[in-house]
Amino acid sequence: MKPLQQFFALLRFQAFASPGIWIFPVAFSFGPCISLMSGDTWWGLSLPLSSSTMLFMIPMMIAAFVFIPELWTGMTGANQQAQQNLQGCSADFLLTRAVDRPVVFRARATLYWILILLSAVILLALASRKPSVSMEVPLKPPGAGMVYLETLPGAFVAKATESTETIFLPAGRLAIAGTLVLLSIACSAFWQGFVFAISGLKFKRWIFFAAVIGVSCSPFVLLAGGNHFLENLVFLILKHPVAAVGLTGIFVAAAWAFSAARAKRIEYP
Amino acid sequence: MLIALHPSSGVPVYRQVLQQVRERILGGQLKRGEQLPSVRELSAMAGINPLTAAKVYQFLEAEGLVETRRGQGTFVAGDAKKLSAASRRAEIEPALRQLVAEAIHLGIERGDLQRLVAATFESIKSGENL
Amino acid sequence: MNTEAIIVENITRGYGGPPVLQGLDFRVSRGSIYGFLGRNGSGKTTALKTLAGLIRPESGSVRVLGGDPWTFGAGERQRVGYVSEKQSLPPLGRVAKLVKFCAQLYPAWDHELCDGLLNRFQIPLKSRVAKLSLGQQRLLAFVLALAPRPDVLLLDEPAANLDVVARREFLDQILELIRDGKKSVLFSTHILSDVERVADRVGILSDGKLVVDESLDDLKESVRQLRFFGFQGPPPAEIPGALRVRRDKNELMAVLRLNGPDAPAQIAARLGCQVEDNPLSLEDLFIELTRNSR
Repeated sequence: MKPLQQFFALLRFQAFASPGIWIFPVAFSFGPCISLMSGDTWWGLSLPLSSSTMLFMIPMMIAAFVFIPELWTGMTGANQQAQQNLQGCSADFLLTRAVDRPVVFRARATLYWILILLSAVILLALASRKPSVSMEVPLKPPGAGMVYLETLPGAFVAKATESTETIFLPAGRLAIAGTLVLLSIACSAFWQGFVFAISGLKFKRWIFFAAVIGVSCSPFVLLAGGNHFLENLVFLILKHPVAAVGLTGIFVAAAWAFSAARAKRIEYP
Repeated sequence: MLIALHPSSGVPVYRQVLQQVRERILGGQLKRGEQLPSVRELSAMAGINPLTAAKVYQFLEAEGLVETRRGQGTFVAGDAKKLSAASRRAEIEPALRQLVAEAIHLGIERGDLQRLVAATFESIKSGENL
Repeated sequence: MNTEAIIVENITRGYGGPPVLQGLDFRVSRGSIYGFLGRNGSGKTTALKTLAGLIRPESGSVRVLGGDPWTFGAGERQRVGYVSEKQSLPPLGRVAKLVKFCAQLYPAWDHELCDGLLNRFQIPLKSRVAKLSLGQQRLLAFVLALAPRPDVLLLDEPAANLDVVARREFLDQILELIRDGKKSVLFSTHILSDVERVADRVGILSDGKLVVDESLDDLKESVRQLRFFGFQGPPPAEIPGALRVRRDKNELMAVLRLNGPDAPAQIAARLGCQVEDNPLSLEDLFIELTRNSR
């Protein structure tokens, strides 16, 4: 079968071999959608960013299911049947069919990105229905509102009281959504590379679960250190959108190239 | 040709099939000049590896019991009857040696043994004619 | 086109600890069925995975149909089938869908054979793969590997969950595959009677290499159990070259490799005793040859 035909056959097959994987984009974007869409007035970025960990962590799970399903074999507590259901498609079945390994990789990677971008699309679509938001900023410390006026186009101060000012951001919600999408794409690229980097290692299961725990704990770490890391990152992106998109693009391409090269050399003992 | 096999016995499969085909030829069930199944057919009928079937025919040909005609197949040799005397002796030889060795071991004299053989021959032969 | 479907040359492979395969070396000719035997953990699965191109040997080389299976693309894989006990088929789709997916990958897919076998093995097309019994899944995996009429069929414990009837049917299918003399089958199994039924050559894997690699007929004819009795004096303590010797009063039972049909008589003459020649089943042979090793 020609590579292109193989590609589509494999893509169709992978997509429906484990239909449970389509839950991920929904789960993925559920929390962020809620927090991004809630209310017309925000008090700082903490609300919209509150579910962002989901955006950064779920690609990790999708990557594991799509690229290295064998990670889940032999898990204690999972009997044969459950294991099979999780696995989707064991490598030593698929790779011993008449397929080219690089095409298998490409089909899997394409499926992965379809899932990631699906959530991105959902998020952006929702945000564009109500693109504007008002930001209520305390007047002390002074100049806190400046960053919004500088980075978001069309922003203006709508109202000011003794202690706060309200800045209206006509495309604020959309912009924040866009930034989150960009960050999640960058994270997805990272997790794709990560999963392939660990796939040859003996202790990949341990490493993976350590990473899961690490990422789950990160919001608490950020909170302890002051939540501003993520906020500052968001503002940075908003200030230099073109560079941010460009860098993300390069990062995605690099991660793809890296994982493609690794995929060629993975063994399945 | 229906072949009975015991693959797990210590006797190799080819030898089992060989013996059975040989018996049929020597016993006259397969007539002079009669065509035998092809290697493929034999292997399918007996449920054996075609290499084994081929080996059986090789041995039969070496013993002069069959001949292969190119493009036509394998046939029971025309002079199967003539060579059959030698083949029959070869067939019975292992059992004969075992019998004689046992008899010697048990201390049976040659004369007694010969009488025993004759008596057994008669009893089985007449049993057949009943 | 050479006559060897599979060439394994001196391969080594380990998983961090002591090597599982150490200098494994054997060949499988076209038209042959090779029975690959060995105790648990002897490395059979590792060897088969190397042939399937799922892992690479650390040293030595592997050739299947003249090429290195690790580098096989879709074209070469058309001609190699692989079934493993541990393989899991995609569980959530229906059988019919899985068959359709596989069939499109192989231009030489024999639909008639596939449908006929699924029918014969009573595998319901509409069922989800996960709902099939383990035995049915094994059979399905087998049918999927067999339907493209591959030139080489690699089977790792293929009959593990099959009942007696299914196993017999499965063996018949293997014989049918190689009947044209051009295809080969390599199968590893614990069920020695299956090997006796169809294999023309056997290899016994022990301590990472083959301790036996010969035709099944030769093996059965040369390794035999001899009972020596009727010694004039006390029987000797050992018989040189014997695989195993058991003594009881003035009898000896030895498992030996003989170098000709007259060997038992010769040995008996040398020892000054009588001999009784007993054939061994493959199972007995296997036990004698691998009793003390891994």
